[in-house]
Amino acid sequence: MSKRLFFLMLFLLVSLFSVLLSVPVAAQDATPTPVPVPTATLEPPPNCPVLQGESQESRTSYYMGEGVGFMSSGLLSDAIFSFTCVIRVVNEDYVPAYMMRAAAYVRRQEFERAIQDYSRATQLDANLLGAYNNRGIVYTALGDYDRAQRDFDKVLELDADSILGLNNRSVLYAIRGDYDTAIELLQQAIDISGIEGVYNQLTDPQRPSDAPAIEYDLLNARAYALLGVMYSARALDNYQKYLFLTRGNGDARIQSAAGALESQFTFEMRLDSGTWLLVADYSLQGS
Amino acid sequence: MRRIRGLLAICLLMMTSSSLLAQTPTPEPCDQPAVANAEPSYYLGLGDSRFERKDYAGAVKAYTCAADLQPDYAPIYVKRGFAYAGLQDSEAALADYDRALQLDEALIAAYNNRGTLYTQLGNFGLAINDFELVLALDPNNAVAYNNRGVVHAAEGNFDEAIADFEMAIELDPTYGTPHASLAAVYSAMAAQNYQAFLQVEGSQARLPAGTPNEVLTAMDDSLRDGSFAVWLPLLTAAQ
Repeated sequence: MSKRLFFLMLFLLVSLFSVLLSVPVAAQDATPTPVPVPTATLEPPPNCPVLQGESQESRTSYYMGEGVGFMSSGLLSDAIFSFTCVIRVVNEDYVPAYMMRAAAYVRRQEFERAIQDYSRATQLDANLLGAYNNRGIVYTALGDYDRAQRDFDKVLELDADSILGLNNRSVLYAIRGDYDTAIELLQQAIDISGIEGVYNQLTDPQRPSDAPAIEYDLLNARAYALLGVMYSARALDNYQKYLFLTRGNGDARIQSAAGALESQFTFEMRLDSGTWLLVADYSLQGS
Repeated sequence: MRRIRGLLAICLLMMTSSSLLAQTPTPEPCDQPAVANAEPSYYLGLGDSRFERKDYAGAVKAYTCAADLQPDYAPIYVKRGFAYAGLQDSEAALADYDRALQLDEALIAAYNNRGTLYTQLGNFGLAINDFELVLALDPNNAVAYNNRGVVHAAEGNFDEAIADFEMAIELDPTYGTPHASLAAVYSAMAAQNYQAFLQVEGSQARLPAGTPNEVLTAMDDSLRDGSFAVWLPLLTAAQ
């Protein structure tokens, strides 16, 4: 493995992990894969007495609200308990409860349980894009790139124009060393989102100062950042080849540039942008 | 004596009501539910989670959202009233408890919480009335017995307080608070009797079994190891 590849992989993996620890994620792949059964499902149902006798919808809403409230304040165990009340006591087919509980499990680094919940969500709603996307991120964090790839592919199968899917799939290609395809997908994301046109408009010298603001999704700009990473990796690769061939007699300026870039991959970029490489999807859009 | 009663009342009330933190509620729009087709109870759950972490202002906000969506559902006002009490906004709390009882005159939680608030405000008569209304609706309500006992204790009616606490324990042996309430009343009675000793023997007189704290520690040891030594200094020999 080249030094460049090593550092890029290190950077991508650390970033991936950071994303998983900082945000909730979401689901199942095209080919159902066996996942470990958490012991929690074997435990007796929790005691969930609130609004007993009220409608299923009312109780579901109560516990979802309670769980969201706990999640937002970082009380993950309490949040998991609330969502488990929905799943085990009130309505075992309620997809958002699985999605939210999985997100809580991810934040607690209980990845197997998160996968279990995302998988259940996709069983209940086979078109739930966010569940596949988020499960793909969990698989990536676990180093199970084959399953991650299937999940990201499924996202793009459900929505070929998914910017999220294109970005995340691209990152996975890069992790596996296929920069050409990674760059191709990012370019595709840029084309589909129309973000280049936005950029061109905003930087047009003829643009009047009082021109109306252009609204666009910041997610669409992410492809440029990822492209920067891919091209930097390639630049580093070329520097390394030069330094190898010149056997220590190369231009000191190139040595310096290579060192700076290498440093970025090992420190600066990892620290500064460790949360933006893969993006989870919290929407519950499905079938 | 008045000071002891006052301290006892504070001590007992702290056992029966949540701690109160002053926060200022700010009117804000309702949070968009994280799930589609959420029912008003979503905001009840959200409010409860906030209340549990003592975010009373946030809880009031969530309960208000629930009330806006379901204005005739009495329990919402009980919860919001309790959150207002947490914000030390007694007026708003009372208004909510009253509103809840207008909507459902048999809502035990509303009487209980209003009675608790009246107790905190020193309106012991109104408090007793509310706890007795609870007992009229539910004669086996251990909480109401405990709370009425607290009011009796705060008024210095220790015998009635003890009777209520013992009834609460009998009705629900798993309910811990009345045990603590009972201990507090006996502590008050102990203080009362120490004062009587000093009045008889003079303010500089030395207590036979040591200071009240020493006696309490010795009693604690005695309960653990079965020793009766703590009682011996209290014996009086015939002259």
